[in-house]
Amino acid sequence: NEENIFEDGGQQLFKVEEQGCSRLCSHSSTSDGTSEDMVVLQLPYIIKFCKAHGVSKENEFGKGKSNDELKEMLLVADYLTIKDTLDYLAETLANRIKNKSVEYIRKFFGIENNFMPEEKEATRKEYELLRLLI
Amino acid sequence: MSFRSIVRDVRDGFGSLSRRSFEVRLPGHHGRGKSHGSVHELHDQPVVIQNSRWAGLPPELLRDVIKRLEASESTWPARKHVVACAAVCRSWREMCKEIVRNPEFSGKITFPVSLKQPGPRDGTIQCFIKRDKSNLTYHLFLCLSPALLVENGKFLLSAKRTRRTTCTEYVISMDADNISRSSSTYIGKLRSNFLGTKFIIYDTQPPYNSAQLSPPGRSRRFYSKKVSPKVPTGSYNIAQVSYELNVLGTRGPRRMHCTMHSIPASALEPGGSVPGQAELNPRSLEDSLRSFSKSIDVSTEFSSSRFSDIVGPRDEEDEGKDRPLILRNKAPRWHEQLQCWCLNFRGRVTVASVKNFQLIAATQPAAGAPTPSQPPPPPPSDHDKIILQFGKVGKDMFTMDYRYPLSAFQAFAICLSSFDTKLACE
Repeated sequence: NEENIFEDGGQQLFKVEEQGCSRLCSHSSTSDGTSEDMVVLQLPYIIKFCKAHGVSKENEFGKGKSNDELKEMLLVADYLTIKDTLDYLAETLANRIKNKSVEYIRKFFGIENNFMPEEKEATRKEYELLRLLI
Repeated sequence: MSFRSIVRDVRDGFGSLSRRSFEVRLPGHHGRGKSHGSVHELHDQPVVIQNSRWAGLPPELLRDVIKRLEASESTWPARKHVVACAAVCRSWREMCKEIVRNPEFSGKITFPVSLKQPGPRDGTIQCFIKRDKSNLTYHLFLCLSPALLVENGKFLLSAKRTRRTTCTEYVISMDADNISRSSSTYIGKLRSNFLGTKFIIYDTQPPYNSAQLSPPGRSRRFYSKKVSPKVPTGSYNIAQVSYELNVLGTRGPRRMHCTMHSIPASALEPGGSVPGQAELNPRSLEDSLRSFSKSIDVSTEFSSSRFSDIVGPRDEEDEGKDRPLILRNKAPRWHEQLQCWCLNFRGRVTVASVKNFQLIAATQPAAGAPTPSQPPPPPPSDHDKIILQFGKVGKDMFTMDYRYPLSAFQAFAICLSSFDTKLACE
C-alpha cells in the first residue's frame, strides 16, 4: 500500500489515509482562493503547525486556539483522516471540557438537552449527588 | 450534508479567518503536480455533521473524546466529570454507558447505580464508615487515600438507625443529609429482630429472581400490590444475616451467616455472574432504584417457621442452579501467646472488636457423598477469597473492603448488622 504523504514546499508534513486523499484533492483551493470549503480555512493552520513543530503532544499548538477553531480543526483532521493531528486535537478537546459543568459542555457543543422531563430531573440529581464529598 | 452549508454557518459566526492558497503534492496514485480548484466527484460520503449548528461532533469523534476523558479521570473527585458527560444529552449518555465499565471490571465507582452493582473481581474496593452516635447515623465513604485514619473519602451511602418496639431499622440512602424513606434517594433498609440475632436486608429494587423469593405456600398477601401509605417504595428481601454463638458460647467469636437471595451460588463458579443488574438509564431516580410496592408484615417476618422457609431447602428446580450464595465469617484462630482470637486483616483493621469480621463463601457439600477412595474435590479458588471485610480502626471509624459478587449497598447493610447485634464475646 502506498502511503499518501501530504507535502508542502517539498517538506513532508503528515500522512493521510485513503479516504482523506480524494477529499483533499477535491477541496484544494485555487490561487485566487475562491473555494468556500472549511478545509481551506483550516488546512493552512494544520500545515503551518506541522511545518514548524511536527505533531506531538508536547507542544501546545492547541492552546492559543479558540474552542471553535479547535472544533473546526478536529472536524477537518477527521475528514481528511490525518490521524496524528486528530489524536492530538481530541486530547486537547477532552482537556478543555474536563473540568466543566454539564451546561458548559452543552453550550460548547451546541447540544440540546433532549432527555424527557423525568429523565432530566433524574440525571440532574444524579450529578448533584455525586458532587458530595467529605 | 456537505461542508458547504456548514461553512456558511461558520462564516456567519466569524469571518476573520483568512484564506490562503497552497500547493498540494500527493505522491502515489494521485500523481504529482498541482491540484486545482475543480470539484471532483466524491465516491464516498462526507462526514455527517449534526444539522442544528455545525458545533456537534460526529459520533466516532465524540466517542474518542469521551474515552480520553474517562481514562484520565479515574479517581474521585475528578470522576464526576464522567458523570457530567452522561448528563449532557441522550446520545452522550449512551456513549458513556458503553465506555464506562461496571465496577466489576474496572474497580471504579462512577454513577450512583455503581453502588448496586457487584464489586471488582480483581482486588477490592476500599471504603470506610464513620459512625455518629449522637445522630445514630453512619456514613460510608470510598477511600481516596490509603492512610487509615485520614478522613479523605468520597461519600457513597448513609444510614440512620431507628429503634422500634419489635425491631431496629436502618434506613439506607444515597444522600448524606436527608436519610429518609420518603426521599427519592432512599435505596433500601436493614431490619433486625428483637434480639438482634437475625437481620433482613431490603432493596427498593427487585432482584433477578423476585418471583421466587417467597417460599412456596406463602399467603397471597405477600404478592399484594397494595401500596402502604407509610412505605411508598418497594421492599424486596434480598438477603438475611444471622448471628449465633459458636460452640464455645460466649467464650468464642460469634458465627455469622449471610444468605444472599439476590446472588446465586453459581456467581462464584468459573464463568458465573450476578444476573439482573441495575441499569444506568433512569426514567426517574426513584424508578431506577425501586419497583412496584409490596406491603410487608413485620409480625410474621421473624417467626421461626418463616425463617426456615427462606433458609431451608427449596423447590427441586431451585436446587443447584439458583440456590442462593451463602457467606460465612472466617473463623479466627486462637493465638496462644497473645491469648486472643486473631484474623489477618492485612493492616486494614487495627482495633480489636467483636464487630470485626471477614466473610467468605460457605462451600456447599457435594451433591453426592464422595466415595471413600476419592477425597472431595477442592472448592474453586474463588471460594477462598475474602468477599467482605469489616473492622474498627478508631473510635468511630471502621474500614469496609468488598469485592465481587457483593455490591456496595449489600456490603454496607451487612456491616450495619454487625453494629447492632447484641451477641458479645467474652
